[in-house]
Amino acid sequence: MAHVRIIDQTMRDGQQSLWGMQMRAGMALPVTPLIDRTGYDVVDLVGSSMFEIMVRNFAEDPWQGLDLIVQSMPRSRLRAGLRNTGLISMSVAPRCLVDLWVETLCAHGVRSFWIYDVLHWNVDKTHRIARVAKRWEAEVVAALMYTLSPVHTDEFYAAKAALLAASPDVDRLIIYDTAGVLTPARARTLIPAVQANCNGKTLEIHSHNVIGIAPLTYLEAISLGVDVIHTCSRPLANGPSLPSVETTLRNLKLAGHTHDLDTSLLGPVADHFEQVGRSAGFAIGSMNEYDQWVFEHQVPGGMTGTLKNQLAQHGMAHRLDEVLREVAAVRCDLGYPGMATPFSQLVGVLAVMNVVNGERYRTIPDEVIQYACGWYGQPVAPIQADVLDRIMAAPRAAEIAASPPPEPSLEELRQRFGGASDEELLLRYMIAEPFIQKMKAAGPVPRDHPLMSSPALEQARALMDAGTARHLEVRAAGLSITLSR
Amino acid sequence: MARIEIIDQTLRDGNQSLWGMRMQAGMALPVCDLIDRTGYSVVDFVGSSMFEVMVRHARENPWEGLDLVVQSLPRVRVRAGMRCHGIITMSVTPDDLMDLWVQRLCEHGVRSFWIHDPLHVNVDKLHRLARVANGHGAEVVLALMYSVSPVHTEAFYADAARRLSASPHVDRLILYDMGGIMTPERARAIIPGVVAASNGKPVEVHSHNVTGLAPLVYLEAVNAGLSILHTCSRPLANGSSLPSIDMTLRNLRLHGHTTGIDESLLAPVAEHFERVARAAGFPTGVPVEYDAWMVEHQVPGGMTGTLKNQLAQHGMGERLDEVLMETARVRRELGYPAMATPFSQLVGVLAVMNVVTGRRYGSIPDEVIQYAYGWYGPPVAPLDPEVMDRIDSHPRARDFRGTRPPNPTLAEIRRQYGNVDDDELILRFLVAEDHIEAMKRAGPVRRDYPALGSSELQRVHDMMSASTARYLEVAADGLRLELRR
Repeated sequence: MAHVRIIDQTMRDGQQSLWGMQMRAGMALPVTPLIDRTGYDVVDLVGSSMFEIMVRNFAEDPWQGLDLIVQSMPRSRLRAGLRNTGLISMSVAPRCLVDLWVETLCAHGVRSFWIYDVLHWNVDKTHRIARVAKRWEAEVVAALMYTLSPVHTDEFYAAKAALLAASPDVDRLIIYDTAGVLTPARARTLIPAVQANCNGKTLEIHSHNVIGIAPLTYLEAISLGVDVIHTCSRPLANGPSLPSVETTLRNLKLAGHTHDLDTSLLGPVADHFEQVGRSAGFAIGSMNEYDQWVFEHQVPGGMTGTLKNQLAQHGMAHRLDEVLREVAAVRCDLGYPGMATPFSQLVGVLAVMNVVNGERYRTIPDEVIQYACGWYGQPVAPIQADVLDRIMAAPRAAEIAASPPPEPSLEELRQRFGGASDEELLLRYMIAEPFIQKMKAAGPVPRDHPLMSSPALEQARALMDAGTARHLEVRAAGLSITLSR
Repeated sequence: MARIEIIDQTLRDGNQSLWGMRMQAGMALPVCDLIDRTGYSVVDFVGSSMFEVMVRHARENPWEGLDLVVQSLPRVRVRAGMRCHGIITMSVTPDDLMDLWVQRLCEHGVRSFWIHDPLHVNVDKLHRLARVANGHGAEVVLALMYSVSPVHTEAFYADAARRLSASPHVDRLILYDMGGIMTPERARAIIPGVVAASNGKPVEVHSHNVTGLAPLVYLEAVNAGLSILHTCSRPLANGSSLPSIDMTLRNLRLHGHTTGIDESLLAPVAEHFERVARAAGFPTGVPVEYDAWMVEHQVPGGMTGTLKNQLAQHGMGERLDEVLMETARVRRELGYPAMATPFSQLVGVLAVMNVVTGRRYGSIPDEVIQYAYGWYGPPVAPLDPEVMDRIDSHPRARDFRGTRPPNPTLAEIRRQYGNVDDDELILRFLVAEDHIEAMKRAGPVRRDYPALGSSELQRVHDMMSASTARYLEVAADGLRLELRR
């Protein structure tokens, strides 16, 4: 029976999947000392999109927030994740800036990185970033992004595993299942194929519980020798997110496995995030019924909401099923990119536009042209010939093809973006100036988040949000309620 | 690809699993016509516990309610279900009364029966009831009650299928997974043997979605050649109930299977039951995370709530896990009865008493002694010798040792209950007389159920029920809310 290590994803992928990266430092700080003492192998914490949202939406300095959290978690190895070609947005970032991002995170206390490339093509870039992280003795985890297609065979992943594991700077590999479509049956063939090429390095597994099979896949993976799994605190688990730590530990125990977590600390952490979710109006994780359709479109759980919103803007909310079908078709046309940033967004945007325009590929975003030009590396399967013709016939195609991604030096970037420090340079690269000014004007990061103290008050607050009439009065059985605005 | 027949369980098992059988006729009648036209072959509706709950709690005549529902479902076969040796009580019901129950249901328009024996041993009783129902032209479905134990092997179920299907009065079998503990692998292993032994009769599948696996079990069952599945309207599906019709149809379609279901009628039915649930304060079904613990203790979903309540009465709400563990142990010691009525209750009661008193088998209910002495037929595995000794040495043991359950004739029963018609005779057997009098006083069955028209009003209603303070005032942003009692 195995001794299983657990990686906490509550504050990164849990909130990314369910709260759209809107967890502010003050929402986490009251319980980070508890999480710190729970016994996790690693606590995932940082993504660049979180930095963007903290500044844009909350005028909150993400470096300051990160420092507060790092200080409150002295025992834990803290993780950040990045795409090996990008920093923010869907496009390609200069290499020196990606390196600076890693170095600056290390300087702020991050000691573990997971690095991914959806196409698995730019192994050299992954290894370059790994080297940077290793200068700070940070752990490096290279990702195998799991997706279903005729080209994503066990052999495909085994070959990529061998390439990624070849660098001495890579400590671990991770099988990363964003759409929650890795079945126990597939795990039985995929995992041994990957393990055989891992160079003896540790293999982690990360599977979103979109259709309820992730807990079974975890059990299968452990029986095959994988011993690091990813979970979230219950209110930030399940649905588009990962399995809950609570139920996962019970399943492990019943299968005879052991772990190092102090389970007495799980309840208070879950209670806290539940209160935060309720008072901030964020979604609390709940399960979905098994849905075969997810295998066809492979849209990550969190993205379905985005697609719905985009359609609603065009008054076409009822056409979601059609868009999801189109997502599957576009993905096939583009040579089966894995459904993670940036391709999940690109495929999604194209699918929405194809349906909304009533004509396929009439509008083509720049990033799709860049993809066709190989900026992200070679597609894993060829782009359909007629679709490639449409892309390269787009008005912007010639210009983009003639200007490969610029690789300015750090000096040039400093001159262009200014900023008193590396931290500010990175923020300025990611976010427009007015937002940064507003953030600076907003003052220090709050260390907590106001919570309603009772369900009754919470109900009153909800009623106040819901009531739009100027005057509402209800009487019954000796009780009267008056709402006036 | 297969043509799949769907049986609707919204009104019976959905209602039983999630609403504790509290669905009154008026809650269903507004949408019965839609359900009737949806394309289901069978609509399950009746169980004896529903009769009891209607009289006791809703003061509603269940025969009258049944007539109204049957009249509104002219296109489908209305189904009733029963244990072969008992209605209501956990003990054994006289054969004549069982026969009368079937006859009266037939007279009231029931056209399909599923009948079970948790031990699969009382084949004579099952076939006798089958003859009665068949004699009235009703369909008969005998159940294989799925359970996990060393004795419940593939061979066990194949043998039970052979014996149960042997009567010409049996039309179908049903693989009945009340605990939702069947896995796709087990379905693959068990179904071929059952099909081979079923004398060419169709086999239905009924699996509660307690651990999220039921939809996968359904797909596996269809692969193995079965083509009759049980589902519920979405608000009454999932969790301790069955898979939803919506998702089941989608999963079937994506595997290339067809049904005769008119999908346009599903949403209005679901919306109706959602409104009823909100107005009545009943829960709606939500899928749950896979939990191996469920497979360990096999307590049916609905029963966990009962155990919680019983423990709370003793101020031991926190000891639920201990009781569930004890449940698994008691079940083993009693020779692995399947966890369905009456055994799920008997095992549960024993487990609670063992934990609460701190003395195992310190008190033993009469029915457990009766079970040990074969009133329900021989146990599927021998009882633990030590537990058998405890039972043998119980003061009540001599009252039951070597006896058979009393089996008075209908004439004798009529003498006992006085000069009433058969429908009332059955009610009197089920429910104490004063409840029946209160039911009669309450007047005719209501044909609808008041549901509030908007979510805002519903919110006000919820607040009024939640608030206990005499005066509550909340003010913010120019809005003021006052509650007075």
